[in-house]
Amino acid sequence: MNLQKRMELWRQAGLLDEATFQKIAAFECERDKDKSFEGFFVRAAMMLGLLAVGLGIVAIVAANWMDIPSWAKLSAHAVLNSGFALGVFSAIKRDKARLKEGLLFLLAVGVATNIALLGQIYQTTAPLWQVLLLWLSLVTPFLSVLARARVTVELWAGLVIWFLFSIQEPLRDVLAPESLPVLPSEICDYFRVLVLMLVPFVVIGAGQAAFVKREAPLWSHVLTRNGYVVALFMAMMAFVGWSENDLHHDLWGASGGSFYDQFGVHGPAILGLLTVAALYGVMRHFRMVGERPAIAVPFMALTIGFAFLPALFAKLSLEPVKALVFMAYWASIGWVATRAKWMGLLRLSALMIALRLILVYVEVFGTLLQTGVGLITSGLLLLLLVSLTERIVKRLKKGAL
Amino acid sequence: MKKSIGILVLLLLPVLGLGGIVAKNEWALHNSTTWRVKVSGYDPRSLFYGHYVLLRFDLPGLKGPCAEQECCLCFESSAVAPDVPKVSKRKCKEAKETCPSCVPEGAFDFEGAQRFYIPEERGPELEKALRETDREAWLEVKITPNGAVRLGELYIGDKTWQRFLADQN
Repeated sequence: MNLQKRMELWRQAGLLDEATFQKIAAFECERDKDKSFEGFFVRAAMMLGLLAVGLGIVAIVAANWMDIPSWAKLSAHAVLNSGFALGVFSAIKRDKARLKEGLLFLLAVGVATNIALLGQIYQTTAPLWQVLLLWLSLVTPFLSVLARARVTVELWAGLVIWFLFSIQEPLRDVLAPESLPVLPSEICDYFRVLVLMLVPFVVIGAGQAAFVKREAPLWSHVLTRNGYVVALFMAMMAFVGWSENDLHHDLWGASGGSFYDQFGVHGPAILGLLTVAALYGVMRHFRMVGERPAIAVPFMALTIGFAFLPALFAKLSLEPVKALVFMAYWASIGWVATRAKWMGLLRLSALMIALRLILVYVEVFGTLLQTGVGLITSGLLLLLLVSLTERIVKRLKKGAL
Repeated sequence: MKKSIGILVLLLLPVLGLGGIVAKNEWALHNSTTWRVKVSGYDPRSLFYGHYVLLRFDLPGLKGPCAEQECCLCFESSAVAPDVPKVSKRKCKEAKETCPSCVPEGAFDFEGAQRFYIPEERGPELEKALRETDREAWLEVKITPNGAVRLGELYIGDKTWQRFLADQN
C-alpha cells in the first residue's frame, strides 16, 4: 500500500486531521519532484559514466600492474587514501552524512588493500593475525569516532571476530607443550579450546559494555548480535563434528583422548563457566555492563555446556540421542529467548528444532515406507511446534509473558 | 577547532602509519645484505597457491642441532659465488661479530614454504618454465643489520623471472 492510500486510511480513521494531511501531502509531493524520471535519468547516466571511467582506470592499471614501478603504486595508493580521508573531513564540515559514511567505508577498504599492496611489494609473509591487527589498529580510531553506517560497522565487527579467531595460531605456539613444559600437554590443549570458546562472549561483552551502549548504540547492537551468531555457530560446529568419530582431534585440536578419558570434559566445561562468571562479576562490579543483561549469562552457560557435550560422548553412535541433545540445546535457547523477549531468536530456535526433527527421521529409518511415515509424523510435530512458537510470540507481544 | 584537528589526525593516521611501514621496509632493504639462495618447488605436484609460488630454500647448513643455547644462523660467502651464502649455526654473540649477516634461529622459517607473489595469470607460464628449464632458480634473501629477513626478486639462471619469460616468448 502506498503512502497516499495509507494517509487516506489514517484520515478516515481520524488519526490525521485535514491540516496535517495537507502538510504531509505537500511535503511528499516536493520530495517526489527529486525522484522524477528526468532526475533519475540524469543521475543514472552520471553514475554510469563514473562507473565506466572507474572500471576503465582499474582495467588499465590491472593490465600494466607488473610494469608499474613499486614507488608509483605505493604513492598512488597513499594519494587515494589521503583523498578519502580529506573527503570525509570535508563531508563532515559540509554536513553531508551519507557522503561521509561512503568515504569512511572506502577509506577502511583502502587501508586493507594498501596493506595487501605492501605485502605484495615487500614480499612480507606476515601471518594473518598480524595483518588483521594492523588493519584494526589503523582503522579503529577513526571508525569508532565517526562511522555510523551499518555496513561499515558490520565490516569492522566481522574482522574483529576473524582476528580473535586468528590469534589461535600464535596461541598454539604460546600454549605448546614445548613452551610450557611444566603443564601437561592436555591442559595446554584445554586452554586453547577455552580461549576459542570465549571469543564470542568477549564480543558480546564488548557490545554490552555500558559505555558502548550509551555512546554507540549501533556498534553495541552489531557486536552483541555477531557475538551470539558466532556462539551459536560454534555450538553447531560441535554438533556437526559429533558425527565424526575423531572429534577430539578435529574439533578441539586435542592431541589424544587421555585428558578427556581421565577427567572427562566436566572439568573444562565447569572451569569455562566459572571463568565467564568471574569475568561477568568483574564487569558488573565496575559497572561495565548494564544491570539486567537477561540473556547473556544463561546463553553463555548453555552454549558452552552443550558445546562440550559432543566431546564428552564422542563415540556415541545413537543418532536419536544426538538429535535429542541438539533439540534440547535449541529448546533451552528458545527458553532464554522467551525470557529475554527476543522473538527472532525464539523463531530461529523453533526452526532449528523443526529441521532436526525432519532430519532425524531420514537418518533413523531406512526404507521409503518408514521414512514416509516418519516424515508425516515429523511434519505434524513441526506444524505443532510452529503454532506453539507463534502463540508464545503473540503472548510476548501482548506482554503476557 | 581542536575537534577538527583531532578528526583530521584520526583520518590521516592510516596514511601516516602505512607510510611509516613503507619507510621502515625501504630502510631495511637499503641497509640489508643481499644473498642469492637456490630454491626448488615446495610441492612438486603444484608450485602455485593462488597468487603465490611456493618455494623451498636449498640451504644445507640449516640441518643439525646447535650446540649453543642462543643460536644464530651465520651467512657468509661460499666458494660458489660471493653472494651465494654458506650457512652455519653459531653462538649469537660470535656470529654478530664475525658474520656478514646473522639471523637468530627461529626468527625466520627458512625450512618452510616461502611464498613469492606473482600475478595469478602468469602462474602456468612460470610453472612450465621452471619445470622445463635446466637453469637453477634463485631467490634473493635480504638480511638487515638486526637480523630481519626480507625476500627479494626471483631469478631463473641470471635473469629475473619476468625477463626470463619475456626472452622465451
